[in-house]
Amino acid sequence: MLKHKKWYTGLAMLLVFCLVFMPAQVALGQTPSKVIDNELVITQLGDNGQIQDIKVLNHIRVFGKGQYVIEDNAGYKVSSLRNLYSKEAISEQNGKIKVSAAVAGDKPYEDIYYLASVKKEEIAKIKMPVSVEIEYYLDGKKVKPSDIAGKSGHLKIVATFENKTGEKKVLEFTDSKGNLVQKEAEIYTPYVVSLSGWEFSNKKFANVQAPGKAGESPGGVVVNIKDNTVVSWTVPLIPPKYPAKQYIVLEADGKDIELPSFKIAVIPVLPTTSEVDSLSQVQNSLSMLYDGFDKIQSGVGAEDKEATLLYGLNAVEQGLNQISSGLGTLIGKVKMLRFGLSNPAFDAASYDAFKGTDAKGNTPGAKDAIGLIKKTVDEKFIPALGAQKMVLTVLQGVIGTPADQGQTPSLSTSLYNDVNYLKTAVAGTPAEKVITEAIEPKLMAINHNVGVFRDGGQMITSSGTVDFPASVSALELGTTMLSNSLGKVDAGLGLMVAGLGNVDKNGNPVKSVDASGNPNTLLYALAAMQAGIEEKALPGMAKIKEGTGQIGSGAGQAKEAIYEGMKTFASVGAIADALAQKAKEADTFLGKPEGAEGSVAYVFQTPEISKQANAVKYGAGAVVVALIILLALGRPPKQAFQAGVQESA
Amino acid sequence: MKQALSLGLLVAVLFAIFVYFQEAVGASAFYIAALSMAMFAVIGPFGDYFKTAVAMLIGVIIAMAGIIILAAKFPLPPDNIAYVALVSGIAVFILVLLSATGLRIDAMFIGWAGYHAAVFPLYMADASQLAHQALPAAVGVSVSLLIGLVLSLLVIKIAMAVNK
Repeated sequence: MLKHKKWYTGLAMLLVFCLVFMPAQVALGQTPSKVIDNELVITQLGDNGQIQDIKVLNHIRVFGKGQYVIEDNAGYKVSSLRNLYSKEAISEQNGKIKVSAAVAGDKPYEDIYYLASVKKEEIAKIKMPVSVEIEYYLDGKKVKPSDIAGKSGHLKIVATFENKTGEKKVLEFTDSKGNLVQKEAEIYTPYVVSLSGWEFSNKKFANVQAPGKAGESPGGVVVNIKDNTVVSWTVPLIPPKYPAKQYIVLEADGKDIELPSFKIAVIPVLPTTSEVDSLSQVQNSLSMLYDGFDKIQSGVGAEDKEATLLYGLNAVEQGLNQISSGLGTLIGKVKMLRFGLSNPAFDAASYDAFKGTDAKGNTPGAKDAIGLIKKTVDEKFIPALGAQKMVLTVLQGVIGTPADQGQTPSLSTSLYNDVNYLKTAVAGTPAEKVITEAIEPKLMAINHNVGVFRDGGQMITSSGTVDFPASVSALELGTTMLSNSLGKVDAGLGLMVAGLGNVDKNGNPVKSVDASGNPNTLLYALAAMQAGIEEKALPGMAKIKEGTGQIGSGAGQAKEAIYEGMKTFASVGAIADALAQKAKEADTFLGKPEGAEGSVAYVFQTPEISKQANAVKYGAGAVVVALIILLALGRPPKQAFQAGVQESA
Repeated sequence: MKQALSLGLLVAVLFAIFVYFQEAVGASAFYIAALSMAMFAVIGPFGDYFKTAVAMLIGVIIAMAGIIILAAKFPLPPDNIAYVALVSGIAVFILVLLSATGLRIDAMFIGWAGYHAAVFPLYMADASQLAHQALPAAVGVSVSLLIGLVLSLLVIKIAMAVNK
C-alpha cells in the first residue's frame, strides 16, 4: 500500500512538472522574433607567428517568448563547444550548432554564450580578413619570442597588418557636373586594428618608443603610468584613405625581458571621426582649378583654330618664313646690285675694250667701268689735249709775229719773217700791196685763231669775230673736271659697294661688324637678319609652339587628373557607402543563425614571454627539496611512535 | 640557547630568502608560508611533517581539480556560483573521506584553501586564463605551504632546543 502511495505521489509530481513546463514545450519549433549573434574570434598566435588556436566566443541574444532551438551555422569544423554561462545543452551536427534558449519571465530576451574551438586542421584553410604578423628583434637580430624570455638588450617588435578583403566593385555616383559616373574601385571591408594597453614594466623596460612613419605606420601613444609604460595604437586599415597594409613598431631597452600576452583587436567598422570636413572647400578649389586649366587649354587651342595662341603662333611662324624668304630674295637682288656696281672677279688690268671683258671673261661693274673711263681720261685724253695745245703753240711759233723780220728765210724762220723778207724784197711793187693788205692780215688772223683754238677767245672770221668756247684748253679743263668727277663717282660707288658689302667665293656675304658687333654692311645685315630668323626666330618659334602645345596638353592632362580627382571626391560618398555596406556585411566568422543580425570582432593574442616555465621548474624543485627535508627531518621518531603503540597496547 | 638562537636566525633568514625569491619559484603569496608555519608549528616534535606535507599537496591537487572542472565543465560565474558551491562541497566531502586514511584534515584544507586563494579571483574574472595558470599556481601554493611547513619544523626544533 505504501509502495503504491509512493508511486501515485511520483505520478502527481510528474503531472505538476508537465503543467509547469507546458508553455515552454509549446514554444518549441517556433521562430524567435529576433536573434542577434555577436562573435568574438580569439586567435592565439604561436611562437613562430602562426595561428596556433582559434576559439570563437559566441553571444546569441534571442528575443521572443518561450523555448526556442537556435541553429547557428558553423562555417568551420569545431573540436569542442562549451556553453559558458547557462546549462542548456549545445551540440554540433552537419555544420549546425544547436542550442536551446528559454525566454521566460519579464525579460524580453535570453542570452546564450558559448565557446567554440575550431579544429586544428581547419586553421590552415581559414583566411582571416586581416593578417597579423609579428616579428621580434633583440639587438637587431630576429628572434622567436620564447628566445628572449629573461634576456636583456634592445627589443624591437614589428607588427604588420594587412586588410585582405579588397575586391573590385563598380561604383555609381553623380559627378560635379551632374553626370552619372561609373567607376571601378577596389573596395575593402573597413577594419580598425586596436592595440590597446600594451604594458611594459618600468622595472624591465626603458626608452619605450612607438615611432610612426607617414603613410606607412601610425605612431603609438606612449604613456608612463606609475610602474608601467603603456602603449596604444589605432591602425585603420581602410583604403583608400589609409593603406591596406600597415605596421606598428615598438622599441625599448629591455632587461630580464618578460612580456604578457598582448591583445590585438581587429574590428570591422567605419569609424566616425571628429575631423573637420574640408572636403567641400577642396572640391570648390579643384573645380576652380579645373576651370582655370580649361581656359588655359582653350586659350592654347590648336593651329587650325582661330583666336587661339597656337593659331597666332602659327601665323607668326608663317610670317617669319615669308620674311626669311623675302630676305633671301632681297639678298639675291642686293648681290646682283653689288655685282652690278663692282664685280670682285673683274681684273681691270686684263680688260679688253673690244670684247668688253677681262681675260677671264668677267664683265666690269659700274664702278669698274668708271675706273676704266677715268683711267682712259687721265691717261689718254688729258695728255692728248696737252699735246694738241703744244702743237698749236708750235704752229703759232711757225706763223710768228709781225715783229719777225730781218732773217733770211729758212726752215726755222717764221712765216712773218719770211713775208717781211718778201715784202722788203718787193717793196714798192703791187706784190708789196698784196702782202700788206692780204697776206699779213690773214697771217695775223691765223695766228690769232690758232691761239683762240688753243686757249679760247674771239675767233676772227671773214665776217667778223665770234666766240670760240671749244678751245683745246677748255676741252682739257673739261676733261680734267670729268676725270675728277669720275673719281668722285668712283668713290661714291666705292662707298656703295662698301655699304653693300663683300661676298666670299661661295657668294655668301662676308661677315663685317662694327665695334659694337652690329652688321655694318647691307648684305651682311640682311644675311644676319635671315640667319637670325632661320636659326633663332623660327626654331624659337617652333619651341614656343611646342612649349605652348605642351602647356595645352599639360593643361588637358591636368584637367583630366583634376576631373579624376573630382570624380574621386564625388565618389567619396559612394565609397563610404560601399565601405559601410561591407562593414555591415562583415558580421560573422563562424556563421550565424538564419536571419540573425550579426557582428564580429577578432582578437589576436601574442604569445606570453615569461620565465614562468622556469619558475614552475624551480618551484617543483623546491617542493621536492622541501619534501626531502620533511622526509628526513619531519618524520616522527620511531622510538616515540613505537612507545606510543606499546603504551596504547 | 645558542642552538635556539642559531635556528631562529636560520628560520628568519630562510623566510626572508623565500620572500625575496618567491617569484623565482612561482610563489606569489609568501604569507601563505607564514600561515602554514603558524598552522603546523603546533604539530610538535613528534608530529609527522612529511605526512602533513603530503596532505597539503593532496588538498592543493583536489582544489586544482575542482577549479579545472568548474572552469571547463560548468557554467561560469558570476551568475552560476551554485556550481562553485556544489564542487566545493564535493571537494570538502572528498577531503573528509581522505582524512579517514590518516591524512591530516587541517593540512588538506589549508592546501585546498591556499590554492583557491591563489586562483579563485582569476576564475571569477577570466576563467580561460586558468588554462595557463592552474598548474603554476598549484606549484606556487605548494612551495609556499611546504616552505612554511619546513620553517615550522625548524621552529619546533628551536622550541625543543630552548626547552631541552
